Amino acid sequence: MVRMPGRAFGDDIRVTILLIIIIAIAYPIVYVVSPGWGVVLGHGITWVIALIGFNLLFSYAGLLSFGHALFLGIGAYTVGFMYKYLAVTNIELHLLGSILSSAVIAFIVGFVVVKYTRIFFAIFMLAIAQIFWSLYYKFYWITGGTDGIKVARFSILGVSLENLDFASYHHIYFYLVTGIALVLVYIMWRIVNSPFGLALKAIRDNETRARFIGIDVYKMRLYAFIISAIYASITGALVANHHRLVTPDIAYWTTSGKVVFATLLGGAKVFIGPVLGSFIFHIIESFAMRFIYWQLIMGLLIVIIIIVMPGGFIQLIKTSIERGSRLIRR
Amino acid sequence: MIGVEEILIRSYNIFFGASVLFLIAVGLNIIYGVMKIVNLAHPAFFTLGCYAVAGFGMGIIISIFGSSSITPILIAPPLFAALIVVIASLLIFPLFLFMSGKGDEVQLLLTYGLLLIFEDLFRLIWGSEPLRASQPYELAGSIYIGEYIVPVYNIYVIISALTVALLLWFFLFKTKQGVLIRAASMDIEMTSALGANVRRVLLITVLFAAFLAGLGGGLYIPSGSVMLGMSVELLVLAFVVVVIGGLGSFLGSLIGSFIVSLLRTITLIIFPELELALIYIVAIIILTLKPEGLGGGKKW
Amino acid sequence: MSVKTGRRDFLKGLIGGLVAGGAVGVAGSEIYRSMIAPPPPPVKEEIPTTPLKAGIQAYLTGGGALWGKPMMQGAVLAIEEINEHGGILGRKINYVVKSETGPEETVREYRTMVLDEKIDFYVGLISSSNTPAVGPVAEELQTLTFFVDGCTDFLFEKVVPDPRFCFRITNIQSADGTAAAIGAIKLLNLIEKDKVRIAHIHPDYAYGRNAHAHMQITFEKVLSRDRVEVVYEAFPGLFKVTDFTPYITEIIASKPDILASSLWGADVVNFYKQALGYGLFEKMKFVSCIAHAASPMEAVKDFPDGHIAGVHANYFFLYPEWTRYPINRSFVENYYRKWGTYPDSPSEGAYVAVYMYKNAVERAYEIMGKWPEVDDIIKTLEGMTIYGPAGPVHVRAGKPNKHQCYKDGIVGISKYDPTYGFSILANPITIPISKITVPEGWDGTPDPKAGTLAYSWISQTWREGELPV
Repeated sequence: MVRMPGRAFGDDIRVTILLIIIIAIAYPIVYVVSPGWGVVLGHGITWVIALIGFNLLFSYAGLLSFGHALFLGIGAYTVGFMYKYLAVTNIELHLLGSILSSAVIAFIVGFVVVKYTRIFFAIFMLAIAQIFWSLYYKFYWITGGTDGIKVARFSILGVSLENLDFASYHHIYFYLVTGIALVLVYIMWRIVNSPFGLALKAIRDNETRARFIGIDVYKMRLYAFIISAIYASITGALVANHHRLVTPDIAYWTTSGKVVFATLLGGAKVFIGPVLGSFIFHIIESFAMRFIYWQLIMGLLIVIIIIVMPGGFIQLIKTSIERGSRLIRR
Repeated sequence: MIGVEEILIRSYNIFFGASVLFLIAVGLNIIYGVMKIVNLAHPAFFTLGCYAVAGFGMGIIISIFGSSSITPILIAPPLFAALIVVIASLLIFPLFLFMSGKGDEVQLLLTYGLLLIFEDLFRLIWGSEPLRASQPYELAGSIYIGEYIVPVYNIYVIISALTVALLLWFFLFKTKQGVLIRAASMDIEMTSALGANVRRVLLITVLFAAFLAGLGGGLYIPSGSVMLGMSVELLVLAFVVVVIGGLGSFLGSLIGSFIVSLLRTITLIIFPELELALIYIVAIIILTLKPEGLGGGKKW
Repeated sequence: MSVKTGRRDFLKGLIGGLVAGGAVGVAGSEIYRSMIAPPPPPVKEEIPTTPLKAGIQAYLTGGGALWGKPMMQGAVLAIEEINEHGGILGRKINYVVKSETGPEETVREYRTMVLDEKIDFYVGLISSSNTPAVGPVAEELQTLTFFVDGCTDFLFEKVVPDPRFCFRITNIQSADGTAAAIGAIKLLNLIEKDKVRIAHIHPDYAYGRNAHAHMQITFEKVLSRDRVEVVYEAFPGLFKVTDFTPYITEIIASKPDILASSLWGADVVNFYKQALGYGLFEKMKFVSCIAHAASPMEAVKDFPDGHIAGVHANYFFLYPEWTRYPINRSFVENYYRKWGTYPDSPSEGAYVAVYMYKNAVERAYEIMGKWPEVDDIIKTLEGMTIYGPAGPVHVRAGKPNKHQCYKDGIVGISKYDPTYGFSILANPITIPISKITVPEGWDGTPDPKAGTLAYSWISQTWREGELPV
C-alpha cells in the first residue's frame, strides 16, 4: 500500500469536489436523454458516501472488511422501522436515526472485532454481517422477511413529496444526496488529514512502531471503524429512500463484495478513488445487467483489474495523462 | 423421540452432512495451509464436480457400464468429477501463482472474481435449471433401521469421506511428499532454500485441493441436485467450518465439519427459526475465544 | 260566381295542389328513406401503425427458472399468435425480456423497461416478494401491468388497495392453500378420521407463510380444531437449501398423517427426490399445493403416486378436457409444437394476460372509435370475463382485491402416466373459486397474524366441521 508522494490530483480535495459537481451538472442532461441512466447516477452518488467511509477503514486504517453490508443494512432497516412503526418520513430524522443506530452497533461490534486484523477481521465481519442478515430474513413479522418493508416517499423539512411526478421526485433526491455527499466527503478529507488520520496511516504502515511511539492502536482503529460504519449506514438510509423498499439483500455478503470491488475499481490508494469508483461501478453494472451474464463480466473485470490495474481507474487515468504529456513534450 | 433408532437416524444425517462439508473444507484448508491463499472460489470446484457429473458425466458412465451395474456407477462419478475439476484447476493455475505471496486483499478479491466467473460459466454451459444424477442413489436403494428407512447411498458417502480423510492423514504425516508440503506451509522461503521446488509444491497443492473438492461434488450429487447459486451458499458454510475448525488445519476440517453439521441438525429440531443465525453465532464465539479454531493451534 | 274567375282559380288550385303535393311527396319520401336507411358510420380515427411493445419479466435462472421460463414462453406464444393474425387492430407486438430476481433488482429492471424501453404493457413476475415491490412502482410510472403470479394477498389488500394500472392473472395466494387443503380432505377422506396429525414444510417467505396459514386454518375449520394436531413445522429458506435430509428425518420422526407443503421450483424437486430414499411417501400422504404446477416434465418425472397434486389452484394442461374444450386443446398443441414441452400454470397465466390485453383494447376501440387510452383499456378490463385455456377467468372490478382475476381451481391425485413420461394430476376435483375466496364487497379486516382478508373471512364465516364446497 505505497502512497504516492506529493499532492497528486488523486489526493486533491478540490479535484474530488469538482468531479462531483461536474456529475451534478451533467445529471439533468443525462436524465432528459435517458431517465434510466439518470437513476443510475442517483445510485452512484448515493454509494459515494459508503465507499469513502469504507476506504477510510481499508486504505488508511489497513483493515479489509468483507462485512460492510452490515452497516448498510442497519441504515436501511433503521429507516424501514422508523417508517413502519413510527410513520416517520422526514429525511432528517432518517439520517439522524441511522447515524445513531450505526454508531451504537459499530461501537459494540468494533469493541470485539477491532482486536483482529487481516483475514480474521475480514471473516469476522463477514460472519457478523451474515448473522444480521439471517435475522432480517427470519424475523419476517418485524422485518417483512424477503418481501421487505415498503417506505413511502420521504419529506424534506416537513414538506411531503408524495404528489410529485417521478422525475421531479428523483431530481430532488439526487440533489439532496449530492449536497450530503459533498459535505461528508469534505468532512472525510479533514479527518484523513488530521492528526487522527496521520496516526491511522502510521498504524497501517507499521503497527509495532506506531505502538512504540505511543499511539493507541486499538482506539484509533475503533474510531475509524465507527466512522466508516456511520458513512455506510447513511448510504443505507438513502438507498432505503431511493428504492422505497428495504430487503435483507442489502445486508447480504454480496453487497459487501460490491463495496470492496467498487472501491478498488476506482482506485483505493487515493482519496478520489471511491468517488470515481462508485460511478464507474454503477455504470458498468447497468450495462452488464443488460446482458444476462453480468456476473461473468463483473468477475472478469475484477480479475483483470487486480492483475493489470491494481490502482484502479485512477491509475489508468494517471498513466494516460503521463503518456499524453510525454507525447506533448516531444 | 429419543430412542436408539432416533439417535441413529440423526447421527446418520449428521455424518453425511459432515462428510460433504469435510470434502469441501479440507481443500480450502490445504490451499490456505500451504499457499496462505484464502480461495473464495473453492466451493465452485465442488459445484463444478456436481455439474460435471450431472451435466454429462453420468450419461457417459451409464453408456459405458450400463445402468444397473452398481459398482462402476458408484465409483466412476466421483472420479470423473475429480478429473474434470483437476483439469479446470490446471487452467487457472497461473492465477494461483500470481496470487501467492501477494496481500490478502488481492487474494480475496481475485478469488471472489473467480467465483463470479464460475457461477456464470455454469449458467452458460448448463443452463439455469437444477440438474440431477440420481442413478447411484436410486440403485443403492434403502435399508431399514428399525422402522426407519434410510438411503444406502449416504453410507457410501460417509465411508468414502472417511477413507479420504485417512488416506490424506497418512499422506500428510507419513510420507515424504506430505512432510514437504507441511514444511512448505510453515515457511515457503526456508523450504525453497532446502532445495524443494516451491512452484511444484504449489501446483501439487492446488491439484490436490481441486481433486478433493471435485471428488466431493461427484459423491454428493446423486443424493441431491446442483443449481446456480450453490457455490455462494456453500462458501459461507465452508467458512464457518474453517473458522470453527481452524484455518489451515487438517484436523480442524474434520472437527469443524462435524460441529457445523451437528449444530444444523440440533437447531432444526429445537429452533428451526434460528437455523442460520446459530451457526454464525457459534463461529463468532469460537473466533473470539479461540481464533486458531478448535483444530488446536498452529499448523495441521 | 262568374265563369271567368273559374278557370284562373282552377289553374291556381291545380298548380298549388301540384306544388303542395310535390313538396309533401318529396318531404315524405325523404322522411321515409331516412327511417329505413342505416345510420351513418361513426367517425373512426386512424389507428397508429407503429408496433406495440411488451415487456416480459421472468425468472430465467436459479431455482425459479422452472416457473419463469414457461411463463415467458406462454407470453411469447400469445404474442406470436397475435402477430400471425395481424396484430392488435393491425399493430404488431414487439417484446423485450428481462430477468426477475430479488425485489430490488427486479424493480430496477422494471423501471428500465418502462423508462428506457418505453413498453406499452407488461407481463411478468412469479415471486410474491416481487409483486408488492413492483406494484407501487407500476402505479407511480403509470404503466399497464399484468402480474402473472406473485399472487400474495398483500398486493391488493395492503400495498396497492386501489390499483389503477396493476392486474393479476393467476388466483390469489390464499386460494392456493385453501384449495389444496379442501382437495386433501375430500380425496383422502380425512373427515372420516378421528384425529389428523399434520406436519408442515414451507419456504420461508410470504408465499410459504401464506400457504401454511391457509392450509392450517382450512384443516382446522373443516375438520374441527380439536381433531387436528400439528406435529412439526419447518420453513427452509427459498432456494437456499440443497440438502433436505435433516428436515426429512425430523418429519418422519414426528409421525404425521399428512405433510402439507408449498415448496416449489427446485426445492420441491430436491425434497421429493431425497425423501424417496427415506420412504417418506410410504409413511404419510404428501399434500403439495403446487408441485405439479410448473414444468411437469422436469419437475415431477418420478413423483410417487397417490399423493395430493396441486397446481397453485390454477391450471393443469389436461383440464378442462380437450374433447369438451377446444380452446385448451389448441393451446396445448400450439405450445407443444413451438416449445417442445407441455404448458403449465405460469404459461397459461402469461398467455391469458396477453390475450386479455388484446381483448380489452379491441373492445375499447369498438366503443371509443380510436386507439384507446390506458384508462379506457383499464375500464374495459374491469369486470371482464374471457375464456382462456383453463376456463373462464374474471377480472374483479371492485374491492376488496380489485383487479385480481378469479378462475376455478383444481386439485387431484398424483399418478404416473406412461404416455407422457411424468406424473400427472389425475382424478381432478374442481374447487369453485367463489367458495374459497373473499367475495366482492366484503368489508372485514385482515387477520393480524396471518395478514390476509381470506384468513379472517374463513375464521369468521365458515362453519366449523363443514366443507364449504
